[in-house]
Amino acid sequence: MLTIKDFKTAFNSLLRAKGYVFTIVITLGVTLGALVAMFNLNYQLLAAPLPYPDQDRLYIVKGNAYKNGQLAFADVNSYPALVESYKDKENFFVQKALITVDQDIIRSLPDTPQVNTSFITPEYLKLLQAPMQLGRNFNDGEGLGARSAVIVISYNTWLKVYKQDPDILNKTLQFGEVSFKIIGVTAQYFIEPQFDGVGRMTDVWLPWDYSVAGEHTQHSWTRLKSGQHLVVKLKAGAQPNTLETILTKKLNARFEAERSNDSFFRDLTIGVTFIGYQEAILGDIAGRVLLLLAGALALLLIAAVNVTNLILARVSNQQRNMAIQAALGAQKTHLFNGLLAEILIVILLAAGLAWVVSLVGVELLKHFTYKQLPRVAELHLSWQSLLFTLIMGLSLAFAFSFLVSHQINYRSLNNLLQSGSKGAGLHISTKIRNLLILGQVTFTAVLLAASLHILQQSLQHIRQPLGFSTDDIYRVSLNMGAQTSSPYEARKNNLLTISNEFRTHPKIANLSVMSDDPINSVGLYDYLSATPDYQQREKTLLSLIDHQYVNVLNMKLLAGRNFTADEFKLGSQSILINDAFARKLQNDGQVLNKRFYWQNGGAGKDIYQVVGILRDLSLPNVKEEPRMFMSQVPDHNVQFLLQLKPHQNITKQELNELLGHVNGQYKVAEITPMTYSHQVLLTQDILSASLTAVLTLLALGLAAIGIYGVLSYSVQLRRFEFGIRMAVGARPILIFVTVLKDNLAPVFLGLLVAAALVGLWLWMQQTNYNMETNLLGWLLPPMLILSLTAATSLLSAWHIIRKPASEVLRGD
Amino acid sequence: MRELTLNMTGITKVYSTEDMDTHALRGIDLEIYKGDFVSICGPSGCGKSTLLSLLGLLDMPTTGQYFIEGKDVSQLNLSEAAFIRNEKIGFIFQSFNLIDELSVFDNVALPLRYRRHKVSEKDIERKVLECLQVVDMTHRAQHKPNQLSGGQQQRIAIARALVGSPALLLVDEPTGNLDSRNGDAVMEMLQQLNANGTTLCMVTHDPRYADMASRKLHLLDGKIIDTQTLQTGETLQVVV
Repeated sequence: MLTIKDFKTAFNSLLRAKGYVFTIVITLGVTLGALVAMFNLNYQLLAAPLPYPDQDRLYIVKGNAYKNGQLAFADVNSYPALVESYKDKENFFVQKALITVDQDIIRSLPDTPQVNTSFITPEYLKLLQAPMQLGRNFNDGEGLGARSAVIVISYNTWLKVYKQDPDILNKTLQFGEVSFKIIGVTAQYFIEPQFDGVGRMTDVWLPWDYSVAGEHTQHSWTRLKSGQHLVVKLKAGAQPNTLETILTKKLNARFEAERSNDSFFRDLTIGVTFIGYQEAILGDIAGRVLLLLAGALALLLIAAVNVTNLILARVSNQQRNMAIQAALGAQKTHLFNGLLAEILIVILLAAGLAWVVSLVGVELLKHFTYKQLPRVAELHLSWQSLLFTLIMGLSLAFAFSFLVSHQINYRSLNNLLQSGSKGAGLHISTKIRNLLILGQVTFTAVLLAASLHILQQSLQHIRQPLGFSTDDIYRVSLNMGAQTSSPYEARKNNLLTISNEFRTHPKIANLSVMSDDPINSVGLYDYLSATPDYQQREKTLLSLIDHQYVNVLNMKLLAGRNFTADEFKLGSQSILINDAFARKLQNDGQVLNKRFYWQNGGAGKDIYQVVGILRDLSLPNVKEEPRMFMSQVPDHNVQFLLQLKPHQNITKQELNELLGHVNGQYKVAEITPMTYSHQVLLTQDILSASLTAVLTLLALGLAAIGIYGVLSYSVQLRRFEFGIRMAVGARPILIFVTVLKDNLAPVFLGLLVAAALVGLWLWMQQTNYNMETNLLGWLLPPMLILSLTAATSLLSAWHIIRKPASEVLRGD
Repeated sequence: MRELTLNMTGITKVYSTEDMDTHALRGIDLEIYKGDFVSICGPSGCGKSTLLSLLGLLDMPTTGQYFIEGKDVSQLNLSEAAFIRNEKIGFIFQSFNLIDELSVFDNVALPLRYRRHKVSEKDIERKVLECLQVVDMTHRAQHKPNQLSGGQQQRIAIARALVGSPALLLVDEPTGNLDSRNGDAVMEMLQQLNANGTTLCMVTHDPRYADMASRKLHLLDGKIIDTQTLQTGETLQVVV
């Protein structure tokens, strides 16, 4: 049984070994902290219940369309199918609600902020029992068909847009042409289920009635749209499979009766799938987060092996004390208790640090992964995590003590005092020690090779020129409000006038009107063909641009010319294409001035002439797609590229004022610097680069501690031998060289095993790993590990080679 | 005129800890001439081992001057001390201090492998075998030390001490771990070496063996309290 005296003795002993304590606390603190953070994440995602009442009975009903029995469109619904399901009087569910999401601008505010909107029926927030910060939720009188102009805003909107105005209730804000009265603010701790993209948070909740514009859509059973859902709460004991069958049958009967005679829909059927909230929110995240947990566990195990070595080295140093205790009658248990007390103190400190590290880890996860991992906003260190930390800490302490005490040969300890200071009480064979080093080196080298490879790729992406300018260029998205439904010609004229208005602003150097920029493509695809029969057609991204687009972005023409101002104003049969598309149209890419047939989305077969070929762009992580540009004012999704004069900024208010000169309906939805778009594109790379840099340092640190642990233990065992060598004339440098030589064999073997593993992995992946460009990636890991071995050899031999030989021989 | 192998003047050695200073040697003056056989006696804790460590440059004095063959070696760094130790001094320890992992041959060869100027393997082999012959252990050259008896191990240790042709052989309780028969044999061997011109300095508790030396130093509380020349039986000097 451990006594306070054991702890006091252990504490005093540890006070004299600050380096030892520091190393173990840091090693275990960081790795255990990482494991606790990952455990917490896994618990939150895979085990913790959703923060909604009866969460296991909440389901999202996803619509699917099947053609000839095969899934043709997933997660799509027609408006009338949804509404009929919602209105259905059959008593299948406790509650039902509708939801669809969008984006809009708040027109009543001068900076017209763009917000995420969710259109819902009143039951939606009730299903979630959404807590309110201020005001109330929608009531039944504000449901389907009531067209009540009331809204609920999120806590975040109240904070950011209204600066926590306490009198916010009953104030109005305008979307489109409707002014809505604010009736409530959701509570700060309310967390909505994120069905439509991880990290997407609703800013404003509006009544469902305002979700759809067209009359036709409201009655068309064949207009299938994604992103609109029926959500339900099942009755206790109800089987979702049974309900799926019933609902599918009902909806298909209606669909059959209502679908048009179009041949496309003739063999189309629809159906529904009930997906639990948990599954709908988490998706297939389980595998990924479990992998993270396994990674953290592997790191802790490596750290544990390293710490075992350090403890063994320390125990080896303390053998004489143990021998004296044994000679005085100490039982094995006494020695074990002494060890356990020391280890418990160190582990307790490490667990404290681990708790801090996991707190930081959780905050980092919340900050950096809220767009990648669902439910991270709910993360907090729970009692389960605290319990996990304690269990892991205690398990480690007992495991270390058990392992080390089993390495102590109690009988040999009794002989130790008689046989001088050579020591025989604790011994781990050279083979095991070499295996430990080999394992460390192999693991570290593989990890370093992989990390450096990723790091190199990420850095290459970060430094890679895009092929166009982003400096001082801003993308301005336009919200056209009611103008969306005005005739194209009127909109076109308005947009040309707006261009002229913008041009008068002293901060603007140049501008372009367009459908999308090279980074933020809306993904509009079309086809070109060399023959009118369209037998061979080539797919391409299509962008509608003006004659300034190429100039503003400083894109390079490989051949031909840019559009002219007249071609843009009057419309022309000219196109610009990129090199990738030119080579698709014709192998040699020599298609300048050639004519091709454009299908125009199936509307016709116009002939267009290639007037210019642009150099391909180099977007990071994206293979350059074939691109085609037409000189045309976009019909929808109108955006401007503004090139500002150096060191200038422009606000929404300034642009809205100019827009007001043309038509009050036009408002700026968003101004995004192109440099920011570039940064977003690089997020993955920046994250990868940072993570791999940290991982590389951690791997190196762990390897250093691990190798040092083994070496210092080995050197400790050979201390007497080194003393003899020094007595007969070995200089300190020769002792160091002896230590280094002995260590290099397992290190080289480890490097060979690592190279074989990396080679095997590359072979299995069939990766085109370029030896030439990644030479540094190949050379750096062995160089780092060899330097590390030299440094740790020096460090472990340091306490011998800096002492006079007499002290080494005495074992001081 | 006799040739001076080493001389020490005013040598002190203080071991310091946070709490206290321990004066192991308090002003040692000593001269050893070529061909001397000096024994150092004294009670436990009188400083015998410390003096032997300083003589063998295993440690450095706190103050005082120390010359070996006229070269000042009082304050050498660890590498310089190692060079001098390797070339000028041979050690024989009480517990033999052979390296178990090396063969008898390699143990004996060790000092030659640490030479400032590399010695060829051929020369090493020749010298090692010569020394093993001196101690009559040639037949055990490929054995490991733990396969030998204590007496045999001490003979190997003597061979190792001789292999570098040192100016001074330092011997620390050479018979401490041996039975009387083996002890006598070792002492006989040392006497023989001295008779052949090797300078010896030996620490021993055993008065019988101490009397075999040509000069006997008595140490007490870190000081040499007297020096006797044993061949004449007269006290030559009192240096307290």
